[in-house]
Amino acid sequence: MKKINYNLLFGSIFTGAALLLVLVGLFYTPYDPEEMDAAAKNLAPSLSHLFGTDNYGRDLLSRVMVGARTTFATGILTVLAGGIFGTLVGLLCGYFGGWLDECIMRINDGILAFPSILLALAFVGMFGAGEKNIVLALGILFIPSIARVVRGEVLRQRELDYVTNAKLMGASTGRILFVHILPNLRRTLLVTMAIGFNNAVLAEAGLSYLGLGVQPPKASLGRMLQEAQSCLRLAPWYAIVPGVVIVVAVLGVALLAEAFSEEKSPARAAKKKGKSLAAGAAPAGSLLFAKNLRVSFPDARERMEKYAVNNVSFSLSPGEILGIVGESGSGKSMTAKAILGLLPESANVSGSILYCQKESGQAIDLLAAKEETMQKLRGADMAMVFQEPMTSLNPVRRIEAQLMEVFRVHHVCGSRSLLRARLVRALREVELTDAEGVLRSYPHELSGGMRQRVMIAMAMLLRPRILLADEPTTALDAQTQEEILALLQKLQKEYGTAVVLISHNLSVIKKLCSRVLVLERGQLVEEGACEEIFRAPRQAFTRKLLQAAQGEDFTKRLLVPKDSPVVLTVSHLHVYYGKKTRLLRPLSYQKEVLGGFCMTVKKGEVYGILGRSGSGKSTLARCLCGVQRGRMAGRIQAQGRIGMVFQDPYSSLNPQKSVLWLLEEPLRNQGVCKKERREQALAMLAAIGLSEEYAGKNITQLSGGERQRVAIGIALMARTEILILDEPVSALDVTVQEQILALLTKLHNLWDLTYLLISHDESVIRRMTTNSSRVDAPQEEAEVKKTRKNVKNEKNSIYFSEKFYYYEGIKPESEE
Amino acid sequence: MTILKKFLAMVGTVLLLSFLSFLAFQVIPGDAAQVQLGTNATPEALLELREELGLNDPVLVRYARWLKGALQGDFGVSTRYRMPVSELLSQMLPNTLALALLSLLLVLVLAFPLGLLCARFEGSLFDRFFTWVNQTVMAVPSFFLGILISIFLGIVLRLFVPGRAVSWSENPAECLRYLFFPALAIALPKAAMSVRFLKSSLITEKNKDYVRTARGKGMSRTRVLLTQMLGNAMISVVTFLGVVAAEALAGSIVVEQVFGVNGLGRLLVASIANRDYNVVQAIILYLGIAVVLVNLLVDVLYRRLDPRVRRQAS
Repeated sequence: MKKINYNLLFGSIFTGAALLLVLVGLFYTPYDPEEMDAAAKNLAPSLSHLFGTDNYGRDLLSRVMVGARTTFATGILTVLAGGIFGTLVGLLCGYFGGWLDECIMRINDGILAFPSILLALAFVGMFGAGEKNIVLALGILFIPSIARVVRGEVLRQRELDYVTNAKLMGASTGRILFVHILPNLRRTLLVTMAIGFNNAVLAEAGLSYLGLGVQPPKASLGRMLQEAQSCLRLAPWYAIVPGVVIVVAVLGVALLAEAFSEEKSPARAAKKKGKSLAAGAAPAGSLLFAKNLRVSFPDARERMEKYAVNNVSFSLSPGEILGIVGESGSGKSMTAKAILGLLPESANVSGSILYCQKESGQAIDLLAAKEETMQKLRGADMAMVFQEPMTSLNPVRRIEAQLMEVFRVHHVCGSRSLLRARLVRALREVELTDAEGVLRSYPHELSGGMRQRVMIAMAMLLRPRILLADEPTTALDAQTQEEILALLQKLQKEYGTAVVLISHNLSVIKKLCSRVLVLERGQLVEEGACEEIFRAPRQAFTRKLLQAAQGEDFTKRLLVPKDSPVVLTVSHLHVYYGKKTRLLRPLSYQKEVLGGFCMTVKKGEVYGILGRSGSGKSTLARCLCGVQRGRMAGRIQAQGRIGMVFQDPYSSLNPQKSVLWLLEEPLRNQGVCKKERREQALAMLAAIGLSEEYAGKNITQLSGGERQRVAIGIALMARTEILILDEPVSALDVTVQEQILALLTKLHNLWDLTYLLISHDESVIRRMTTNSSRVDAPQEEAEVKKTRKNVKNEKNSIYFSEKFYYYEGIKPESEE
Repeated sequence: MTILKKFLAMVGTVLLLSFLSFLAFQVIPGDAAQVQLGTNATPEALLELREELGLNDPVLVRYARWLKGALQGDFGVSTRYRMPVSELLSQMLPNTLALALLSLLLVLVLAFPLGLLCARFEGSLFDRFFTWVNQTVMAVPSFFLGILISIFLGIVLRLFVPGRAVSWSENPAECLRYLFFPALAIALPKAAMSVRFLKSSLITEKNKDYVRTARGKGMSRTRVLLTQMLGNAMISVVTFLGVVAAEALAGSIVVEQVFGVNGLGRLLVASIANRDYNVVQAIILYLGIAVVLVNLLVDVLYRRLDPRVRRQAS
């Protein structure tokens, strides 16, 4: 079923009608719009005068045709003039930032605080009434609003890795702004311009209505309304005709803007509640029993249902820990949400999930249950802990209020102090020692681990019988992960809660679960006791998962030359963020991200850098590529061209471009001719293991793994010798991770590349690198100091001294 | 502390505004002496009057003089009405303020229930119907809406007499009744915008993780909407309402003309046409101060609503 886009349809009709009126008016008007006819004053609409006549006997249809032309021309001129200047200002301010941006945006905000008609009035008040002044005033006033929108968007885009990537491809600033960034702003610009057009039309009409715009006898829609004001009683149609033209045009443009700004949202599904399969009794002793569970979403493009969960059946016994494992998109989370009845509204569900009630022991089908019944169960009988502790708590309410709510919703009685005491106890139970303090805090005042503890405390508050934990530790660092898992295990033992643990991480599953379900693309491929599955997986997919999790040792396949020269030296690299803390002392800033990092990398090495999130790994990568902004000290020497691959292939590649275009871009910036560009790009496409048909594809059509291949290809174009890999596989599924690492190994051996592999994942570093060091946040100096000592002994590196060499930036082929 | 800083910035803005508008009136041809004496004045008489009015002094000196007067409430004399500008303004200001406040009140009364209902029942017939009504009403300029109200409510239904104005001292109830219709004309398009903004802010919140958490606790959709989502959505809505308040003020300028309300707007338009610059300048200053005050209020509210900003401030 194809959904009609009503906004587009009616928008086109209305805008088209208004345009038609103006266009016809250019060549033909039924009467002379300025010819007065004393005999035909204030005639009501009739066949000879379709819209009637005004108080001078002029034909209204003819006049409205001419008037609309004036009004719309004002709007278009305003938008074009203001739009071009505004876009330029916004682009420059957003991209360069700094004090100029600060100044311009201050003025901008000042102007925007005032309603534009007020400012236009002030402008006209100073410089006199008239059409030209109005266009001038409105055009100038349009600049700040569009500049602000463009700037905001540029700021957002600038942080995306594809801009950094474009810089690394050697694109000039102008090229980055106009070829890489601007196409991504197309939609925003169009919508802002449309809104600007409407505002200009309304403002012109308003000013002309006040007698400050177009001067008589020239017609404009606002002017006509003013003239009509005096004869509202005699000829009401005189006012209505120009007014309706304004409304139709403005509404049409607004609807079109709406249609453009709309993201393609999935069509609303006809609500189909799951057919209850004759509440077949659950197998004795099981708490939850899902049978033939199906969750599907209508896919507008392919006109079919897409199954997120397809025919999955499983049961959960009281007090057991059931693991659900699978790659992203395998339907793990959807299964959990289906149990709680929290699926998105567009989802279609079928099958049944039988739940054995606490008091009666009778089974009810959760999919067919009423919303009120579900509300009673959620939070009391079953609760959920989510992946993202950062966003899972309401940012504007105190922890106490959010926890108290659980009591209130489930009508737990008791005095305030009693309930509070219960909360304190619950928080102590999840090992939050300063329970009182936590209760008083807002979520943003707590660390990620603390928030996850609060989430667990909230979930366990009413002692639910089932706890659904959806990737509860994925967003946390390694140590906190361990603690949270231990906590879950402890609570589960203590209260006999049945836990459904969802994770992509096999080691987490192995540690905790007694039984495991393996999901692949919505289907249940294997089910069994945890030990059994880990020992002897029956299905090919499970084997693949396990293999990937164990990981191949790629170091054996890497060919590393002996006694090769040093190609990359970093000595005492300091990077600072924030404002200066002491005016006179050099290098005193609020935050030091890297505190004297040193390393030497030899040609042909795969050098690993291990560090936790926030330890400055990515900053180091950015420094090496010469794209880090802000204050730095130290020295970086590189021999050979440096390329970089980013963590997230979804943001590091420009979504507007095709694979081939992106692969050619580094060569284009070097001025390589078209034929050669194409040849080299196609050769690279083959080298990264993609067939030729990918060349013309748009980046958005590619999967994560394919995108990362393209990203590697781009970084290697134009004879790159040193490749910096910033968490190149962290955003990918385990099986894809292996493929990418294998590809990197192959390319390394093929072209004698030097890799610098940055990762938080110890296993990746262990399996892939021949030499490695750690980075830590500066307060933990020990490791860095050790490296420092090493550097001292190293012959080719610069001797350590207290004096800093100021960073000068590396040119792509600097030679020392 | 930050509020104090904001306040100082506000004073700065107003001063800058007053200086710029003062400057602008100096560069345009035809000064006060010319206006007062008309186009037939002899050059000698003009010179004399200029000297007398102090128009030959440097701009900064004249600005300082004007500012000193303005601070004491003296904006000079209206050349057209032959009376002190401040007296003129004090007659007109209450009407405009009442109109702006009344329309803002109408906006709030209309926007919140509708916005919440549309967000709660997103995609229902009710929501779709009001989305269309909203789109249409937003496209109607407030003065045209005023004209439509005059025709249909005034002339056809005879609920009021278009063009008539009643002052507060005459009959307070009648005065309010006569302000209601212009306020409606100002409020409807702004209310439509606010409903739309409120709804879209609420719907953005709908997909956030904390809403899922709250639903996971067993809260009903309505309860989550009112106790959780509204608080978060209000952070951006308050900023938007600040804009609406400023626009309500601006809207009154045009709409006063339609209904013949004796307010600042009509005075401003007439003064621009008559080149009565002392009045224009004073009104620009007044409106500027009002807008800046609204922004200050929004800032204070914003800080109250968002604990993340509040902590940064302290």
